[in-house]
Amino acid sequence: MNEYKLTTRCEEDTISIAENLEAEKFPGMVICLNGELGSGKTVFTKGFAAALGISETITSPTFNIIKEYLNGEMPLYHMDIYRLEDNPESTGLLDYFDKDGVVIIEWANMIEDYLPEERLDVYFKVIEEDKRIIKFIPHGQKYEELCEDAL
Amino acid sequence: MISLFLDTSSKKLVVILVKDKEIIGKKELESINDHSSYLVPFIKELLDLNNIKTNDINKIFVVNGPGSFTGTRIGVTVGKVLAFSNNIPVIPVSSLKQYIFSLENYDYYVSIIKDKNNRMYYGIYDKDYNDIVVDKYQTKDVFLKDINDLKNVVFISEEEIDGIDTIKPILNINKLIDYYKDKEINAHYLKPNYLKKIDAEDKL
Repeated sequence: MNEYKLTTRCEEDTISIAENLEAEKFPGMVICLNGELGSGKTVFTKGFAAALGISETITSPTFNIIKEYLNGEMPLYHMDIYRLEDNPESTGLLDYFDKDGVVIIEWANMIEDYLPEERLDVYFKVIEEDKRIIKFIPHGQKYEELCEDAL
Repeated sequence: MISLFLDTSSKKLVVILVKDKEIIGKKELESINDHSSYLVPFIKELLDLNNIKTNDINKIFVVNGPGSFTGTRIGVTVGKVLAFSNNIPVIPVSSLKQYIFSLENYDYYVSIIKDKNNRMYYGIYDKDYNDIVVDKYQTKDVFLKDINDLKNVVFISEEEIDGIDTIKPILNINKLIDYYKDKEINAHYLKPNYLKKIDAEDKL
């Protein structure tokens, strides 16, 4: 399984990567974002959403758990599992993987057992104030091709 | 007898109105993520077109799963409220079993809904349409074990499954109504049947 590592030196770099991934989007795409608070997960999501043509402001779904943005080129389902205490099966979150939009999940590792096997895992590591190392691990052929084409 | 049939358990929304074995109204909508917006207007439309009032309905058949978490709840809620407020009996129908009644002369009927991660929902029924294996959610390996010894068996699945000859699901509403018509329950007991957890035993 291939890993892709990219270094970013400012928010714009992260946004740029998100835009490149958005350009290769497909219905049912699942991107899992992992990393500490402030490492760039929501910045990435904002960049992705802007590329989708979503005009609404993307805010962290930490308290809502799931936010839907339906007025872009494709629906965007933005989840944050951080505060989820229930078993995900009893919440209806898993339905989102069967819809035809893009699912972006922050803190996805908290529901690892319930994630689709085919997905893109992204890991954000803070190096310095503005510097990040971002690791991409695609699972499944569609995602490997996605990384080859977009990164 | 006037029967109302609701299925919101999958991406396809189905509402059927039957009067004395004749389908007098049917609405289907594929691939929508908005069952809650369409279900009640569809029901109303079918009733109005036929000059039927809600309290003229004799039985309400609701597909209560397995399937989508939110989807099954939409049908169950609407069915339950209609039934309770009009004192109409409600009958839960399995989203898997609903398709076996359009076939006959097999010793075993297996109905399958494929899910992600090599998992599937399935049920196995005998020649009289009765349950042998009640609807399960399992990995393909367990499924293969369960179907291993079956002869004169038919496999029903919307999606193709590697290594198994399947036919597409077709709904025969009259035969379904005939089979289920006495399996009424109190509306309060109508619950979604959402199976996702894999049996701990089978995992060992």
